[in-house]
Amino acid sequence: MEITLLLVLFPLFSFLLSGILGSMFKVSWFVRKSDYIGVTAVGISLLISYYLLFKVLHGEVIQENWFNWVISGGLSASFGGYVDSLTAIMLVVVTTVSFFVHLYSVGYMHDDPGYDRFFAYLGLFTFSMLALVLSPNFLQLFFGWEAVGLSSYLLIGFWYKKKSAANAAIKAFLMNRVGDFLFILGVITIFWTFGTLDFHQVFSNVNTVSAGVLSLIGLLLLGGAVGKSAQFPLHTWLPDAMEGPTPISALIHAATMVAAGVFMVARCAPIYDGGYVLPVVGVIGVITAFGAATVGLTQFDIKRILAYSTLSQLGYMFAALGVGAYIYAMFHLFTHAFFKALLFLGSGSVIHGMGGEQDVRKMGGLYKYMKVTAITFVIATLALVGIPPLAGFFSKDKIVGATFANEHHIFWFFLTAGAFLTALYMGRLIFLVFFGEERFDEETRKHLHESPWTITVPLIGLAIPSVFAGFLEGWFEHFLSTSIPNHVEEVSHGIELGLISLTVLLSAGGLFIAAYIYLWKKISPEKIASIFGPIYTLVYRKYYFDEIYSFLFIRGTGFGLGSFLNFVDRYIVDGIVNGVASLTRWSGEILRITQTGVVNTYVAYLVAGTLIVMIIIWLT
Amino acid sequence: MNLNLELMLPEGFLLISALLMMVIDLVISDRQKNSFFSNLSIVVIAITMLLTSGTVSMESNLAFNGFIRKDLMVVLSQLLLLISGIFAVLLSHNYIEKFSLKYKGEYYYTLLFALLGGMLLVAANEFSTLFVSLEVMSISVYILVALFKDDYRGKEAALKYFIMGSVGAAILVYGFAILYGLTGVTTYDGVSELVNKNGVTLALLFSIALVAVAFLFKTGAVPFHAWVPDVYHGAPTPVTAFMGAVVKVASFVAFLRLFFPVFVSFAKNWTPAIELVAVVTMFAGALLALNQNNLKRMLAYSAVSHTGVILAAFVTVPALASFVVLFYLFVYVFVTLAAFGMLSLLTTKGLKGESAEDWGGLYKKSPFLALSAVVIFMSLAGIPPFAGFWAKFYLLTALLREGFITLALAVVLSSLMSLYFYLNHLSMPS
Repeated sequence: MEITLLLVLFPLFSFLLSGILGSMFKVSWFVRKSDYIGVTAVGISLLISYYLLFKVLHGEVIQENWFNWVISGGLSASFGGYVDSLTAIMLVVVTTVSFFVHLYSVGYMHDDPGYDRFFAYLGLFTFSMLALVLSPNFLQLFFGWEAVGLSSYLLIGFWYKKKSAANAAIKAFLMNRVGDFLFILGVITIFWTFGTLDFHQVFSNVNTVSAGVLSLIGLLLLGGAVGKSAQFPLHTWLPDAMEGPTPISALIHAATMVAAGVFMVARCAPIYDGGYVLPVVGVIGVITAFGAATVGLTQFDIKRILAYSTLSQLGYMFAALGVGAYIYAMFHLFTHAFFKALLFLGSGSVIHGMGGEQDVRKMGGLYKYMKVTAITFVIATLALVGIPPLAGFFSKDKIVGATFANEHHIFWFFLTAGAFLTALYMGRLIFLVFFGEERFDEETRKHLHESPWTITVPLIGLAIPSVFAGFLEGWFEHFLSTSIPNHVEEVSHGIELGLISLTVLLSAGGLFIAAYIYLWKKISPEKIASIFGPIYTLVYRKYYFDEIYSFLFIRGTGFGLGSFLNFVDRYIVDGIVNGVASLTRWSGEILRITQTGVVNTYVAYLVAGTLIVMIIIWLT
Repeated sequence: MNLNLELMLPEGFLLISALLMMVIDLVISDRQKNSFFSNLSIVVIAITMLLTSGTVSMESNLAFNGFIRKDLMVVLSQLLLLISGIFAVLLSHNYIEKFSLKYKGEYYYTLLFALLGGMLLVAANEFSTLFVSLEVMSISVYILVALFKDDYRGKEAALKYFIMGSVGAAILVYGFAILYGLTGVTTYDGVSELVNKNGVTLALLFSIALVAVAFLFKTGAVPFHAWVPDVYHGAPTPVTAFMGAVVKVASFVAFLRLFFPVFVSFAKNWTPAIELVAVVTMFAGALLALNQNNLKRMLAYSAVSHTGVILAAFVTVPALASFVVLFYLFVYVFVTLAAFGMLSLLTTKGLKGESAEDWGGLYKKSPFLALSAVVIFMSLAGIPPFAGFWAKFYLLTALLREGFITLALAVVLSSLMSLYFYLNHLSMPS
């Protein structure tokens, strides 16, 4: 059997075994055994991923065909595995994070009645995500795209009895639908233009197609990426998706699925390089990077702060894509996956310890109680903020530097400012949660404890790459250059050094100001909020996106379009349908009158019919 | 003289057996009659089937100086008729028991005579043979309809059927007379040769119209259908099943056998009329069934609608038409027998089943019958994967291949309409 197929099948088996036997039919052998199944299955996938990475490192490109689904005329739809350096990196990221999340969930979800269902969904997600990154053609990409969307929906709404969770799941699904609709249009346009959906054939023929068409394809595909990666203006679902269990936020809504948009754009680099869409990608990225960072400053829910941070960091990746620095985007995706997953898992550990409390105003001083969590969380924070020599420093600086080098100075300005804001909100977060005075009650303190090893081991496991992944930068760039381009102008060392110093200084300054406000209490945050007044309210209400969308789309479609269509359906469509039905019944009634039961009439019909037939035959 | 009597062995056996039954009827005690005759009839029909199978041949053989022609299509239709006969006998046994028919022997041998008429009708290769066998079949069925004593509706139906049938027969004979006048011969081959030589004349067109009308009447096409609901409804249910299966198949095959060799070269003259009748028939049948509350009448109208659909196949090229019509009939016979058989079973079991209201909650009283009803109605409506679907499928394929888009559309639309009343009947609340 093909090795790549094996790679995706293990998580699928985990899904089937835990889902059907464990959760659905409750076969006693499988009930509450899905942790073993899941961890083992993903563990095997992890090993296979590293094996594949090893093979790709030796210059191999693996191309396997699993099966042909449809071969009809010009369309050949097959499923398979395509592993080049880009895929190999994604495989490693996905399986590593997924493995740690599986392990983490054993402890985190231990008391949940939906234990088996949870692991089943995790398996489904891992399977879908692997199928997505392995895709050798746009069809499988779309399949994976939709399948991760489905698993995301199922997992956000995992606690479906909670109304807010169910609503968040629906919101995520609907927002993604907008993007996915554009995405499938893009795929159709590709088929229409190139006559094939195979990556290799499409990319090797891009120079035969006009830049306009490529731009159209690029824009449509970008729609899908914007939805999946929660970029402006389709970003509102991601903060709400935090209603799902925390391991899910780490795996799906921080490390892997939301990065699928970045991966897809990088994979389609030949299409984007051929069209005019890249600036759009960049603008979207910069708006999201900066805007989300500002919102992150004002939130109080620990997971929401991290969600806005994810939005912001995904914005950085999009900005990198937008200036043509595909490899830097992928590198940031790579490092971000580790430290953001770590941050979420750490926040889960905090929430676990606090007995479900998520409001940072009711925390503080937790360092004393949960040292492993606090230390790993701080490491991840420093990595995210970009303090050298942690992972985020290398990847973020490369992106900021690339915008400057490619002379997108406005991008550069906002991304640098965003780096400062990142330091500010992350500093605020750690000082509010782990340091300062304790703001929780006695009851909570009694139960406050460090989490069990299944939770702390993944934290430590993810802390290691968060510290060291940055040193892979040179190797990473070289390795990925075999599959995707990287258009970055050379700048002099002096300027480079200056830029790096500036961002590091700003980041350190941000952390310092955060400490000044939240640790040392020199200025009260309320006072700052009152200085900014309406601006603060605007940001605190997340720029009123939810309200605007609710008014435009929910109210607008509900009352405007909805009532119009209701009228059309009820009176015009139903009118025609019922009218046809009544007309038919009525003609039946009329015809019945002819059935008199009297033989005389029957004979009359017979004679008349005979005459008619005679006349017709005579006339023709 | 070329008699080829060995070819006529099945018909001969059936005839002699039926005649012997007339004699046995006089000596056997009344109490045993029903079981004895029904078993005997089944044995006789089974042996006839065996003998008929012996005459299967890929070649076309003539008997009685070319008055009878036996080829594959004829033999296959004869087998189909005989199978239907067996089912009709099986249905009759319980029905006769339940309604204590006085003339039991008469019932069974009349049924065998009707079957004999049908067998000869499909094999006929000459006008007088055709007419005589048609009358043997028809008169036997008139008797069967009227045989139950104290059955007012049956008597009325028989009378109506007889009157209408006589008019139909008169029209047929009139058509034949004109043809004889034109050619001076009565065998199909002879007539065919001479009319082709003479070309189109007004008299010929008149005779074609008259013959066509007679067959359209027998098969129950609109506007010659008026007798169908009354007779199907009034007749004892096993006899209705017999009419729906045997009489219909025999008439259709005879229609096909007469028109295709003899009048095929004038097809462009008569197809528009057949087309029109087909379309009118399928829609009128479906529309009339729509508001029908009585299941037996509804099935009668559905039979009319199906006649229209089968007629639509007549316009396709001869080879296709024979196959499509025969296949459609093959499927239709079993579904019709099943439908009326179900009705008869309901009646004999004491569950009323004719009026739609009686159907509510049938599933609780008899799950097997209720499920059979679903299968039968789905098949009649032409829902895949049931047999009725494939019959319609081949018919539509043939129509589309020959470019009769309008006809195909009419078939689909009328099927859609009929779906309503089949499903409506299934969804009766209790």
